[in-house]
Amino acid sequence: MNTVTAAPVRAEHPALRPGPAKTWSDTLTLARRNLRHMAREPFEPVIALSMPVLMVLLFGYVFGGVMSPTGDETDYRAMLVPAMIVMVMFYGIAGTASGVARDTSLSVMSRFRTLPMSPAALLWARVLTDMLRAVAEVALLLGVGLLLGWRPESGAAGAAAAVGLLLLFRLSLVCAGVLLGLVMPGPDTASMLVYPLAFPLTMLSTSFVPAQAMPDWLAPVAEWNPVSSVVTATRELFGNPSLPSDSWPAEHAVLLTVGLSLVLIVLVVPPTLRRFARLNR
Amino acid sequence: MTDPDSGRARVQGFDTVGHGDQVRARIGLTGQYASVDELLTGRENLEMFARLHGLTTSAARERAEALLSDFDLAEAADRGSRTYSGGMRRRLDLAVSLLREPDVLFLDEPTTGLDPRSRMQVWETVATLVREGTTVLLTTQYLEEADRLADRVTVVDHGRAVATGTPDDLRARVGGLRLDVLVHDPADLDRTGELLGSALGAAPSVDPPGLRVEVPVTDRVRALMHASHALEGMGSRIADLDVRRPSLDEVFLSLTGHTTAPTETVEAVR
Repeated sequence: MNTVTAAPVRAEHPALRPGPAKTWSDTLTLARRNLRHMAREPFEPVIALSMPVLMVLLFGYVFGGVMSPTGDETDYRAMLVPAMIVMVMFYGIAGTASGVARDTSLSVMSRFRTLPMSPAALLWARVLTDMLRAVAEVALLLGVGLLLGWRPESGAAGAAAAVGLLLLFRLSLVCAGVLLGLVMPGPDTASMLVYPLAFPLTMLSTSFVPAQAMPDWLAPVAEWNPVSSVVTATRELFGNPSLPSDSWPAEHAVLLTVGLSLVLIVLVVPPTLRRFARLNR
Repeated sequence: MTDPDSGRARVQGFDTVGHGDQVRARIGLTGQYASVDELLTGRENLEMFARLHGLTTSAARERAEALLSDFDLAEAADRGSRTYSGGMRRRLDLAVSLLREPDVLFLDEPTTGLDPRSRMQVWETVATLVREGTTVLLTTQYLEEADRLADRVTVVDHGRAVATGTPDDLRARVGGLRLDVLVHDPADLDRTGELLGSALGAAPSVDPPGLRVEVPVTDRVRALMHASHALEGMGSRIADLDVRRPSLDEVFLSLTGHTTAPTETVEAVR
């Protein structure tokens, strides 16, 4: 402590405007930090993952007999598995938003600002971490699905397309979550806001019940709900049975999901970058 | 780097606005509140910030190891930094700001809220860094700290620099030495003041609650001789007699003329 003996590293200063290589290495450094955070405070990912699983167990086993449109409980549970994965993808937005809100409100941010690092790496690291998390979640939930009797009926290509679609959807939500986290006053607000919004949005869809079973004024809301499109598209690509519907969104579910995801990304990225640039000033 | 409200700042010749990256590569910063990642261990913090500074993975590992032992943190290296005491966290923060041996180190009230032992350790570290060629700019509310560490002190009062100089320069501004005489009985204060005033030829100021009479003097030995001669007749009624330099607290009070918000900037330049 009394003498600073560590070898000097003054030598030469690093590349002054961080190039792509430094940005990438900063991104990996920070992504590792995010993964450590997740491992040390796993409450949020665990809740985001377990709630949909519990809901599927509840609907699949408790209400299964009454709810199934075909009368076959196993069919109904197979139908719920894609809905379950979509819900988990959706709830992940809370983790993204609160992670970004925490980073930008934390005193560590003032430290980051004094470093010769690429500021954008903070955002890239968040996107990378949450996409890794999404891949792990999808893998885990497919395992749960197999245990529940769900099977991908469309072969490897169909299953790969379904997973790709889920990840594209998740990417658009991660982008939205980053913006949300930058706008929110703090990490708690971010997660407190997401659940009350996400819960009705996932329930008011064709995830669990066909739109025909709803009152006339509610049915179009559920049919046009983007969550319905994603769930229907996933069922379609996995070759699973869908809840009967002849609405336009249900018939063009894959197209609609890809389109919505891309539109969301295009809409959300510019304000995110503007907002983040202002933060770094 | 934040845009300035007005004016400009240069670090080692580089403008903070135009050449922020050049400046960032040369400075270290430790704020008033330790800005380390609380979910990471001490070692993970150091390695992460070293990587962000542009060190290779192996260089980062070595540097972290060296700083952990320099800063007495080797034992706690693999514990979460949120379990650290205030002093340990401050030391970790200081270690992080020294990862790349900065040319200029900024310390914002580095010892606020620390126990005396940790404060001493921070002081020793700063003194070592300055000896080894780092320029340190630190702010403090403790004038004793400024007196001890700084080559140049700037006194800031309500956002304005009111005086700059070495600690001795600043002392000289409010006059050289002080003769302090303490008595046992408040009734003796006036008599003591009169005797000292005529013996030393200067106006005494009396501090009744402190049972103290104070006279500004210039020569230490002459003052002590004259004073003890003048007070000889009072014998054991005198409790204490001493000549001292004014403290920087007194300097501050006389420079600002009030007691509120003593914020002060210190530069320990080399």
